[in-house]
Amino acid sequence: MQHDQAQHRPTDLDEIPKIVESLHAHFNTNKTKPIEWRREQLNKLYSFIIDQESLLAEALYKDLRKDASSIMADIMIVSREAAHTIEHLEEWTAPQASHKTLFTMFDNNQTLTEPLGVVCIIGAWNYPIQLVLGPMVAALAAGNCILLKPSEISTHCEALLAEWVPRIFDTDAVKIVTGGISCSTVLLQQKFDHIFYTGNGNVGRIIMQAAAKNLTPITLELGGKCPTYVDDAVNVDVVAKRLVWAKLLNAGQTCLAPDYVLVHKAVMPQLLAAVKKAISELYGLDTKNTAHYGRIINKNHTQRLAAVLERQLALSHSNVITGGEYDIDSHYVAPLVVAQVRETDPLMEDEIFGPLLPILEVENEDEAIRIINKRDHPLCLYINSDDKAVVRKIVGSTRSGTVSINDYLVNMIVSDLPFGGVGASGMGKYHGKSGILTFSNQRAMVWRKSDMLSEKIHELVYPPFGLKPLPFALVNYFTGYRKPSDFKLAFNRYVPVRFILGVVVVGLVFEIGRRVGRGGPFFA
Amino acid sequence: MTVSSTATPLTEIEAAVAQLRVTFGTNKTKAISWRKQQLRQLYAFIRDQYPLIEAALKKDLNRNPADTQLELVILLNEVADAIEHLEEWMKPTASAPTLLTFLDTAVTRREPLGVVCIIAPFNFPVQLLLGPLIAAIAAGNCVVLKPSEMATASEALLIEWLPKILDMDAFRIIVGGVKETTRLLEVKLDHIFYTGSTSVGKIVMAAAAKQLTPVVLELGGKSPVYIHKDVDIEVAARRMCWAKTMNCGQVCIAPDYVMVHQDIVAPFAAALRKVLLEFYTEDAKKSTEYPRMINQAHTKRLVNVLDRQLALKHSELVIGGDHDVSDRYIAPTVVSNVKVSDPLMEDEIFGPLIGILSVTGEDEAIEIIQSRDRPLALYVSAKDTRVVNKILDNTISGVSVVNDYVFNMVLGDMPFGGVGSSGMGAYHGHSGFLAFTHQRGMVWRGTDFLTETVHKFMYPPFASSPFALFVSRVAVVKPLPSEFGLLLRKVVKRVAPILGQFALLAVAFYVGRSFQAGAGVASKSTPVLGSAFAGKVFQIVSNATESVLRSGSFVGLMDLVRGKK
Repeated sequence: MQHDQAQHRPTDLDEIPKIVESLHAHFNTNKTKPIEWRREQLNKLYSFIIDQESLLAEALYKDLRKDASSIMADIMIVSREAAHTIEHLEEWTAPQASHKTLFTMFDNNQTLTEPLGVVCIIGAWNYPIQLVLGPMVAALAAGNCILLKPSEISTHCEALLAEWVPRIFDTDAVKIVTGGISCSTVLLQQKFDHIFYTGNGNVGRIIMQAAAKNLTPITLELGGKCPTYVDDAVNVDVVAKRLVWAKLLNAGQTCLAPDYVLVHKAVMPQLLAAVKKAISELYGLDTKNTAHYGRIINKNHTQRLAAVLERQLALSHSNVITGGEYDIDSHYVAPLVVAQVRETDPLMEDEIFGPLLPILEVENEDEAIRIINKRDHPLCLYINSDDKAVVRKIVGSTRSGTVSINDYLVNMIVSDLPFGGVGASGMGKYHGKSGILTFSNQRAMVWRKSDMLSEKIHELVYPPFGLKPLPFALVNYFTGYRKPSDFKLAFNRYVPVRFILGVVVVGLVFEIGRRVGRGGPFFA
Repeated sequence: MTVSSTATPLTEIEAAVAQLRVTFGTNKTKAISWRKQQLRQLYAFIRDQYPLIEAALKKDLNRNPADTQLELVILLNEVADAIEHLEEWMKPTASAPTLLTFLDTAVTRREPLGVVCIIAPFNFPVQLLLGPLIAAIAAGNCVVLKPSEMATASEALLIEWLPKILDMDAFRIIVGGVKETTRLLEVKLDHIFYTGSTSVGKIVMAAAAKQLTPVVLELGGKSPVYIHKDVDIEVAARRMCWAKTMNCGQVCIAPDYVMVHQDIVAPFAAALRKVLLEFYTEDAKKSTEYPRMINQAHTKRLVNVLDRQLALKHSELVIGGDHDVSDRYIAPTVVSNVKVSDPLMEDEIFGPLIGILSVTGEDEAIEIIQSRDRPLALYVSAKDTRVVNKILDNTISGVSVVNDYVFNMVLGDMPFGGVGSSGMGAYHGHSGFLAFTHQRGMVWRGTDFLTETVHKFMYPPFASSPFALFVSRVAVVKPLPSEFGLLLRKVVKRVAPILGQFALLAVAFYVGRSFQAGAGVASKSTPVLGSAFAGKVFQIVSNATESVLRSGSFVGLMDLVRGKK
């Protein structure tokens, strides 16, 4: 596929510090803090996605040859996220009152959810729109000034964002810079209040090290090899179909794509047949000429995949079920399924990020757990089983960013589910409330009184103590000292005290009212 | 007490972490009973060994009994809080269903991170080690503890006692200094919780970056104070002296520099002097309650800053200035007329020196605060709420306390942590639990016919057909909520519990009715006391319900009852 050069120019490197500075200055005007402003910006973001769908679709098709349904999955999720956030914004950012103790009973104590300041969002090329606008929803909702840096690899989407972001958003608070590695390098030297990066682990490390110099908090959304386990208690056809669908979506270039498959030996032959069948059912026999089969982003990545593929197929034990063809010039790699892959094979080295599916045979779920735990914690873990005990066992003995059972990627649609990795697959979460918290400073506020009474209580802790007795119990009492009591625990859990009190009091009040006013005109 | 702790050999550190990994792999630490048991043990230790802890802190920092008490009570409360809420915190929360996922279970699980490391500083050697430990245990982690090597007596105490009370399969104490800590940071950990200085914080984060380990950094920084002209000067001075001399100023949230409205600089300085004399007499060195610096190096650092400050002609010494390095003593010192670029304004002071800056008003104070790094704590004293709100709205800080100092520590349910160069991440109460928890989203779908039919709309090539696109658009795209919708939502949320109460009363009403009728029949044929009594009770309830249902405006009353304004 030809990549026609996008028309926009990369941002002048000298401009970047000025842009960041202007954002800091704008943040200090407090204009981004009112909830109305945030809502207005989110509304605009929503309308942009809905109104300019065809433009977005065109850019995504040019960059990644995404078909209509993956475009839907890519960008409509953001509009959903925006609508969901608008709906809950007030509730998520409301101050939380603290419990009272005798020491602080006259005070106004709240935890405020405040914006962090100027945040930088660095997108990735595999979902070039979603991975920029998605975090942006959370950052806007939290009331931050934002600097966007879309991926320079997905050129068309970059150009589109560079053109439209200044048109739709408040240009004082939202800026966009474009460019390659030199741009990112300059960007990382700037002082931000948060950096949100989606991409790979190596760059993630560089970003964290750069952030450490300024003590900038970061969110890293990285990838990793997401394992899939297929138990013997499954409906093989359904499993195969979902697996193929998730793996070949966006030609495997999804951070959540199932990377390698651990199959229970009892269902191995059936599964292999079913996978082969599912591929031809979903994409036909000639994937190169199927309109809805995606392409690899660029030549480099195609070559990388071709190299891994060749190295794997050179091993005599590899059992190719289907695929193996590729065409570097047109960025095409056919869906490849290899069985009898071993843990040390080339396909098991790095994240594949392409339509290559290695299948490993395991004895049972215990061996699967052992293999999963030996490797880095994945972003997502997939389990296919109708046996709940097996599922619970695997979920309970592994760690992963998210876990999805009997299906793939669906966690993206569920708005309230925190999304993010753990260990090597990243740190920090977003989507829904967790996104707002990522981009917020939870500021504790204690507002005390300085009247006589408060000061008298306060005197308990002033030196010198030699002059006044300091009974332990008294201070304990004033600071709200509590003992862990099992009874209280059970009581709090099982008895809805306030609710019952409400019922009783309302009942009593009206009973009294009824008796007093019996026969009167009101109750007649 | 003799200090007998020997440093952990460097070669053993990796093995210690590996052993904790094995323990974590057994899932033992995930059980709620185990977590509660460990927390109870910790509680019992603090309560029962109170005199030992007090003695150790006295030795390290000459901590007075009141501060120790406050510190330990806060700690005890935190354990109690964790035990009380643990089950609630651990409970997975369900997500709202969507058209595509309404048949599924979608929950967020709260899982431990794995092997975490807690590095504590010297200023509160017990609280700042055990506080994060409480959160880490509550979250179900295995923990590597690194107590401060500078607070020797406390370190020895913790090394001796923690193995006695905790399940040592899941905990390890690393003893030593910079060398040992450096080695520890090279090992792959699942989380690092560091409390200390900004400069070391940067080193910790850079080391963590190599392993992609998430960090919580509890750093310090210069916490500013603004004193407005309308305050009760004596109260403001007393609270400040209390907070500033607590632990000899070695508190990460101690007030650092004081911006006083120009109208009251002189009376405020005089009040500070008066209060300090009240607290610690003429010669604070002889006062048994006046704390000490942790070591001679820190004392020298402060003496150096003070000398440089006093060498400037414009600075006015209000009180103090004495020091004795060999005794780790620095007198509570107040210097007035300090300028923004002075030595006292360079780094975090972390000692009992108060620098007073005269400002023209809250605007200048805001300007100064904004021009510096973001502080851990921000303190404002003013009667005028507009002044307070203005300062709070225009600044960013980890915590903010109005009219007092450090009081956020008493409130265990408030998140505590810095922002910007004062740190990242927060703990205490629920936020502490979350700091050591991995929130793992889980979607559990069925493979049945119905789910698979829904799923068809996502499979190519059908997914790209106009019909499928239409259906998935309806399922995925959420209409933009209108202002009216948002309002309605708010109202429904308020009213729903009240309606619930009414529903309950209505049920009681109809049950009572039927009982009443039933009891009437029963008493004639077979006298059953119980049913007659029950009928009477229900009759009363149902009468009450009837009244409620007949009356008009009950919502306002319900709000009163439920204590809402």
